Amino acid sequence: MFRRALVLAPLLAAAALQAPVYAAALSTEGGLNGAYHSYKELETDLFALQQKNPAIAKVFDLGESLEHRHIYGLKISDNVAIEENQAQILILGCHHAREWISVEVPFHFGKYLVESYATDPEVKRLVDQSEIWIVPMVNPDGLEYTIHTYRYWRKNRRDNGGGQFGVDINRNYDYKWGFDNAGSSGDPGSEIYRGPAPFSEPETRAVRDLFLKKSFGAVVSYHSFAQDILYPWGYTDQPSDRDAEMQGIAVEMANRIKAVNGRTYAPGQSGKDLYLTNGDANDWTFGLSGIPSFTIELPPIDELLGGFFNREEDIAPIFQENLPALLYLVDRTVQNFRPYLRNPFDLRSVFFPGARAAGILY
Amino acid sequence: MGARAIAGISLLAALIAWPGAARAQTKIGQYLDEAPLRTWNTAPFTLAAGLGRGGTSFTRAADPSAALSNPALLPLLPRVSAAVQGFAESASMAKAGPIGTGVFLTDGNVVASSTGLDFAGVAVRAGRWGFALSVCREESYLRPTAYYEESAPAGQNGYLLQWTQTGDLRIVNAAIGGILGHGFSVGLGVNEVFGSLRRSLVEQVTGPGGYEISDTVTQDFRGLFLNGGLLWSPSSRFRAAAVFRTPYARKAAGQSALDYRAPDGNTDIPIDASSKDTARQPLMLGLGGSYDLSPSLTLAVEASYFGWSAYSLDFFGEAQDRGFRNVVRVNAGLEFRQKIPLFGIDFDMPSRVGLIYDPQPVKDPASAYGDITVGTGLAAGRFRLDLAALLGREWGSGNGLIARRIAISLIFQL
Repeated sequence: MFRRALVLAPLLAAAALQAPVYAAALSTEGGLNGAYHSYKELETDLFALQQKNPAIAKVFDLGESLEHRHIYGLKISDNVAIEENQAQILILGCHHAREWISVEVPFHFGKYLVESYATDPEVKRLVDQSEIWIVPMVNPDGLEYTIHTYRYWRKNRRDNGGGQFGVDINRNYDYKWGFDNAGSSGDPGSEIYRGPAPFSEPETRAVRDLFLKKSFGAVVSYHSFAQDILYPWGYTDQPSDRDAEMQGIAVEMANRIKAVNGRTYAPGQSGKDLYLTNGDANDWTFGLSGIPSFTIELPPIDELLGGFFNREEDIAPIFQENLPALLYLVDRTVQNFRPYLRNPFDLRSVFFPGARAAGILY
Repeated sequence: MGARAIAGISLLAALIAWPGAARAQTKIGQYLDEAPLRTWNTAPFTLAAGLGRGGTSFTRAADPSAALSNPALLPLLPRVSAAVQGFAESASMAKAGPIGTGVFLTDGNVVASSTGLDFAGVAVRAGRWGFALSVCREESYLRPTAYYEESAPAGQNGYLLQWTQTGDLRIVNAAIGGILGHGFSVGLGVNEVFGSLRRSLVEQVTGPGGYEISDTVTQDFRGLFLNGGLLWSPSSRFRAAAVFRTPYARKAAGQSALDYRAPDGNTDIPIDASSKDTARQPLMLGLGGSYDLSPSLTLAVEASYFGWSAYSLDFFGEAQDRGFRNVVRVNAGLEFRQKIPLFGIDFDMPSRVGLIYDPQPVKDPASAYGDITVGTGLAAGRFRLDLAALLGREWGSGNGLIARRIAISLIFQL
């Protein structure tokens, strides 16, 4: 089902960017995971951003993981406490636990927006004209397991029985869930185990409930590694009917990334140019609503250059090179936004009462 | 990203436990990274005589380990006594680190075992006073070593994964006890805690384009606490005692080294950390009594309260959620004394049996050990040899964990 058809508008040239300044100390100093965020460190820093500028930044509790950790979403917008008829963008990180850098880029984007709002007119324009939702850590349980027990853990922490743990939550969304055993697995011991049912995991339900509550115009889900910008479909190697449009956006983002540090991120269709995946977040958001949906695989390019490891001092350059691509996507979504009439018969809030019950006003 | 990075590596299955293999269950067990082997309630340390009596030691002790359980007993010891103890122990667990939590798959519970010396001490009595100096090994952090390997011919990639955890906690105790009169005696001990814990995981993809991840955490522990007790002996047949162990902050100086190396890519990515952490150890209070049912038969019963709800742990700068519950351990034992003529010498040969109800502080799953103990000994002249064994089974977690301990102590007395 498509919410609305997006017309490919002429792309606007990105404004010149100020180099981000990381003056504020983060809570990540020290710790087993160095400069990367643990769950508690992210919690501390997200609420610090809210406190820094509560007029434009607000932290929401989107749900709880299996081990009862909060899955936080940071909303950045003017008039953040109310719902406005504006362009909306969703940025996700850390579906996969071992991809530590995929927490940092979304978080630092939120930090950049909050800290630059008062001084950068372009940031102010984008924030005032949109709602930017950032969920840096979709899989907090898995991440904590990588910090304390096994660095290369990928999945969440569901006890599947028989000594096997974990569902690959990026195979747990319900668009073409379980389409085949190439793009996911029904084996609980597999690294790409899809789970017993679509949206069986509280982590994916948290993302789902947020997505269905809103009207997002674009989605980016960060992962590592490979240096790719991927778009649907993942479940098949056949292109979608909007492949050219998605490729065009991906190429624009890749060009902006390369202009910063010279690093190449290869645009491509996920199922054709990387490997088949079914039940992933981007196929779901694209299949459900037709909005531009991208998976950005962050550096490095292969195991020889670090695999799921990045030097602590590379967090800032990796974020800086992704920043213009993110700003471009936000701007593009703002330019393509058409205010819509809210459907009084929209019963989604009835069928997804979790958000209401939590007293959260999105 | 990730499915292709682990393509071809099947789920891990092989496990080497020292010394034995494991069978049965795989539900979540009770072990956290810092948990002592077998039981959280390790205090107080007892020699084989006390172990054989169900771990009872507040009112009856005839060796320098009295300083650790109830220093008020020190003035009742022989003029000079010295003791050493050797042990062998094993405990099973359902999970430990990556074992049983999705990385290392096992057929059932796994076992960690160790042997060695765990006590040496000396006590002297001068008039109404008794003094003791001793060292004991009170906690073990040993876990089974887990190892998995897939070898490959030259030019192809193999795989190796290994995890180890070792460490223990020792106490140096200096204690004094004095007779107050009217059947009362009192004692106080100062305890310095020292120990370490070391955990290491190494993962290698060998061969062309391979890489290695090493993750090592070490902690050195220090702490100081007081223990003490009061003994009341209104008659020759009955004794009652109250003991305590103060809560204390166990300090940990930690080092962490996480490293990724890919030689073919000239890649070396270290993430190092150091920390100074604290674990708040609980208050322990004990009450006990013993009664001579006959000149040769003694019954002892004790209850020990552990204030685990106050337990808190920082690990590399982050507070860890534990949410423990307070527990009361109950110990009970019988000792039957007889003389056995051997080789023309009359040996004292006690026989001991005991039971222990030992609930664990972890709330979920809530569990407890039920232990049975037996012991015996031989004493003649200035020497005494005690032997005891403990067999325990856990219930509540669904894993049916088993614990075993054998202790042999040699005591010299003047």
